[in-house]
Amino acid sequence: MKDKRPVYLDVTKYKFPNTAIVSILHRISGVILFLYIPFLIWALDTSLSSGEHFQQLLYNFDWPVTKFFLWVLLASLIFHLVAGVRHLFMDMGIGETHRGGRLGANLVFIISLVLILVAGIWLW
Amino acid sequence: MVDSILSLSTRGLRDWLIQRVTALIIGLYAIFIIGFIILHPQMQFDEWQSLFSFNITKIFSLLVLFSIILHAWIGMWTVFTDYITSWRWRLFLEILVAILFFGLLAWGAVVLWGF
Repeated sequence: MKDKRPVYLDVTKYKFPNTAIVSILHRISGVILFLYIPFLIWALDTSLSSGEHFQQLLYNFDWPVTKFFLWVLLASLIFHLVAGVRHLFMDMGIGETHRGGRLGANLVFIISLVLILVAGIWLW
Repeated sequence: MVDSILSLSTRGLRDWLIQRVTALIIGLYAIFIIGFIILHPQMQFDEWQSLFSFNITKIFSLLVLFSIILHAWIGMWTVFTDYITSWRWRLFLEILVAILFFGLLAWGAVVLWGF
């Protein structure tokens, strides 16, 4: 069955509810974390290989560019974790209604935003 | 007739369960490591290295790396299935990611037991 009627699909004109934004950000932060895996193994390798390497790594983490790089990692981790916890609540039947889902999504925004700011302050 | 609702032979349910169990393991580890770093300001190399010198830390770390890889495998499969419409490309990317994951797991093991 092929439907011949035209379909309006200009995604840029849609108004997305917060639940949808949390969902897509959960996905994007997950892909970002996937890309960070090699860096994390490399950083662990470097930090454990010798005292000089350890110091050099900490020194390099003091650059604004690398600090931002680490902050993106922490921000992705925090958001992914908080949105993931919401998933676990929904698995237990909490926050599955229309209103509960919206409240949960807003809570994810508030909690992760606070934690991301705290992580930024801690880094700088 | 046995109630087979929790038999893990179905792909969707198995993926769902793996995603939850690995998430809990990774979350605990992330809190543990970040907590250790926060509790040790001005940390020296010796403290950091001694933490990872225990076999329990090495095994926990390897378990977490394995969990990350399983978790990311299911996540990337979901993303590829949703956005890559060509099954050839999808297959190619999945094989690429699988090889990459095997390499990362081996590398992680070498790093953990090689210092």
